[in-house]
Formats: sequence, C-alpha cells, structure tokens
Amino acid sequence: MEDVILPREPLIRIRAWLERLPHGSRALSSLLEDRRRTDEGEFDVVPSAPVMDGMTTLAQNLRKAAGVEGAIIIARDGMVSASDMEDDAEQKGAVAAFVGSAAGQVGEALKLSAFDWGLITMGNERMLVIEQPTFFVGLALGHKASPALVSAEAAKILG
Amino acid sequence: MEQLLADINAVAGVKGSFVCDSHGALVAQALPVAFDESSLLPAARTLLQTIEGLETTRRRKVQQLDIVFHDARMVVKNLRVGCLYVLCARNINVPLLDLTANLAAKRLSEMLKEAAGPAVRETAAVALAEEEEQPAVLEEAIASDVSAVLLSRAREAITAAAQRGVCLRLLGGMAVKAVCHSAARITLPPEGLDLDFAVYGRDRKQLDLLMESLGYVPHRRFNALHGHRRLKYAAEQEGVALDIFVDTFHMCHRLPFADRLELTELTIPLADLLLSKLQIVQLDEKDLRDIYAILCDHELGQVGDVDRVDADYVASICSDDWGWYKTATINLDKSIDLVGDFLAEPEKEVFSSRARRLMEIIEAIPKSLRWQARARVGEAKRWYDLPEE
Repeated sequence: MEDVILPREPLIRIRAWLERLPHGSRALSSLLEDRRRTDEGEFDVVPSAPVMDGMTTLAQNLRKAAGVEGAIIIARDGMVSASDMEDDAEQKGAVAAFVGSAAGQVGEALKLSAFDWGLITMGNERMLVIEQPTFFVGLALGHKASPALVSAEAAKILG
Repeated sequence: MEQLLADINAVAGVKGSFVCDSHGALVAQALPVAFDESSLLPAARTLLQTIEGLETTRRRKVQQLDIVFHDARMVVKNLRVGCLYVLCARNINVPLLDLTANLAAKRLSEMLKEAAGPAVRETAAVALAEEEEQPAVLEEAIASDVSAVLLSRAREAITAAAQRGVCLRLLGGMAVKAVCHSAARITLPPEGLDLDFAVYGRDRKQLDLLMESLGYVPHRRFNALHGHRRLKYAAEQEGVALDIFVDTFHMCHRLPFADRLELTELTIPLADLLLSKLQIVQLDEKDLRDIYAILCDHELGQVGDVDRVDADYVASICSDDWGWYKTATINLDKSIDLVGDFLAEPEKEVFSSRARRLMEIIEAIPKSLRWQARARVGEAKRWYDLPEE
C-alpha cells in the first residue's frame, strides 16, 4: 500500500508555483488539496489490489502501442494509479493531470466540445494526455509517433 | 501583429488566433465574433498558468500545447513573453500550420519583447539561451519550398532518363505530392531531401551513366551488395538522396513493376502508388495522409484508366496473396475509422465512399488457391515481411 503514496517534493514545488499565481485555478487547487489529504492520510483513495492490477495491465498494454515509450495512469486527484515508464513517473503524472485539468477548463471557458486529448512538447519530450471518465492517461511519445494515431490506438485499448 | 495573425488564419483549418502577454492581457486578436474577451481571457490565463506550472515542476521549457476537443482544437505556442493561441478545426494539418505559425511566433515574440522593455527582453533572452532545443525557424520556413525543389529534381531525372530510353518513375511521398492537387493541404511536409524512384533492372547500366551525368554519386558498397533490387545515389553538395527500387517495391509486401512503369509519365500508376502505401503494416501519419490525398483526388477506375485509381489492379494484387489482402484491408479500414481526425467535409465523405467501394471490389474478386490456403492459417503466422530501411 505504501508504494502509492506520493513523494512530497514535487507537491511542494507545485504548491509554491500555485501560490505565486495571480489567478489560481480552482481545479488545480482542488487537485493539490486532494493530494495533500491523501499524503496526510485523511482519506484512503488507494484502490483495491485487483483494481491496481487492472490499471497496471492497462498501462502495460498502452505502452505496447506503436510509438509509445512510456505509459502512466493518473487519478483525477493527481495520484499515480499505475505506470509503465522508465523514470520520472511521479512528475510526468503531475504534468498529465495539470494539462488534463487545464484543457477541461479551457473547453468550458470557450464553450468548446469535450476535451479529447492533448499534446505537450517540452524539449525533445512529447507527452500525450487522454481524458477518461475517472482518470487521465499520459503517454510518452517517440520522436516520430503521430499523436492522432496513438490516441486512436489508445482509445481501442481503453475501450 | 494583426498581419501575422492574418497569415496564420489563412492556413486551411484555422478559425482564428490571438496573442496574450505574460500577464494574460490580450495584445492582438483575429477571431470570429463568437469569441469575446470575457471568454478568451480566462482560457488564455489558465493555459499561461499551466505552462508556468509545467515549467516550474519539470524544470523544462514548454514549447507547445496542442489541445484537441471533439470538434475543435487549440494550438498554443509559448512565446516566453506571452503565448500565441490558434483556434482551429480538429483535423487541421498541424505540421503544415507550424510552417506558418512558428515563423509568426518568432516575430510576435520579438514584438512583445520590444513592447515590454529591456528587463523583459533580458529575461526572455536568458530563457531562450537555457532552452535545450530551439525551433529551427529558418529551416521551417524553407521547408515549404523543399517539395518544389525535390519535384524539380525528380522531373529533371525522369526527363533525362527518357532521353536515354530508361523508364524511371517517381514513387513515395513526393509522387503523391506530384499527382494530388490536395497534397499541399492534406499531406505532411517532406522530412528530408529524399526521392524514391522505380526502374526496370534491364536499365541498370544506363541508369548508372545517367546518374553520373546528373551529378549523383552512387553508394558503391550498397549498390554492389543490393543493386539487383535497390540502388542509392546522392548529390552530395545539394544533399538530395535517391533511393531507386529495381523491378519490385519490396517492403512489407512485394509490388512488382513489370509492365507498369510505361503506363504513366512521371510517377508509378495511381493504383501502384496507393498499393505502395497500403502495404505498410505499421502505418504512420505521413502514409495515412498520402492515402487520403490519393483517394480524395482520384476516382476509382478500371484497367487502363491511368487518370484514376485502377481498382481492378489493386484487387488483383490482393486476390493472389492473402498477406497483401490482409494488410491492405486493415489499412483501408483504419483509414476510414480515422478519417474524421484528418479530413473535413466534403473530402471526408468522398474518401470514405471511395475507400468503402474499393474494399467491396477487393472482397468481391475471386481469390487464388494460394490465397485460400494461406487464409486457413490466418494470423497465427506472420503474413508480412519486416522491411529493412
């Protein structure tokens, strides 16, 4: 059970960033609050063992898709549910949760249709974020992978 | 700034664009009336905050966010002193948009820095210097002309070959760009200075002399080892590389050229061009877009119909080899499934109806005994070859 508790260091950095913002977003604040409460044991959001096994299998299947170099599944509160990623799963999970939450807000503000997927480009890294009803999926993409094709492939895997 | 936004808005699929400074204040906009400041600004600020948060958390610079909604898309380019926001259709060709938008982003960034004063200019300069990878703006701008240069080299080689009695024909992505008027919009820009050709083995000696006369240097080791099926040449100064398939295009499946190259003048016939894309087991976006361009621009035809896609020929290839049938039908199915992500109406409907009709023709044609025997084994055994690059 202990292995799903998040290290505090990224959370501290995210909190510091949020406090500096003139327009702190409610969804992100809520995300951080949920993570704080989880870290401090105020509520138990750790899924049961069979659910965790299912998530791990899902992450492994997503990783097998052509063009995918790593997969992570993050609950809406930012908790990493499963990961098949070489390194940095915690931080990459935070990235996926940030972008997923922000995209939902942007869609709402501009009265656009529902968020489907997003792509973040940071240096040589590209991460595809896909929204699901209860969690976000973050997929590290290879240099030549097409986000549209990977998201279609992932949609099949996610059912 | 408005002129730069107008240039971006001229790209097919762009609905509007706007720029905010680093405080989230609207600096310039070219948007349809449906969007007003009260809806734009909260969205712009959320994205600015997200980018700032990501950079703080990951200690890496965010270059771009591409957010796809069910029927819309927003591409956000980080200008370091603000952001450029481009609202577009979900199925926009993003690499094509980037050709214009990256250049505009560079100029907008300079304008914002100029307007913000020396302190911001300094901070932005430091941020840029810290970046691990700079977008090659000049390279991107030149990329739009690369297709034209490559096509001119291809025409030059094909004309010179014809004068020596050599039947040389273009294939691959540049062939699609040569025969599809919608390719400039639908297909991806070329990734390098590469040209693929088809030739008959009987013309090999003449081809060697021809390439030498055109200034191309043979890849001696490769040609000595593989010259019976593939030849490589390069114009070293210009950087153009030629990959010439001899008698057969063989990647995941074999596509023979026998009696096919004489049918058309510049490229291999449309049916062969389509088959050269449908044979790819791990189809990428570039190949998928090429398939869309071929079938959007050309109706299905029959034997001898060189201005159309000879559906009978496609079906005949698929009727003799179950592996060919399997890969081609998987790819046609996939292209129909994904068409909404890449094409808008009416092209979407045109493509889907032609692809479905082609599937029907492939299914209806009688299959060979070899095909039927292999079909019994099914997917239990690998049905394609693993191409070597």
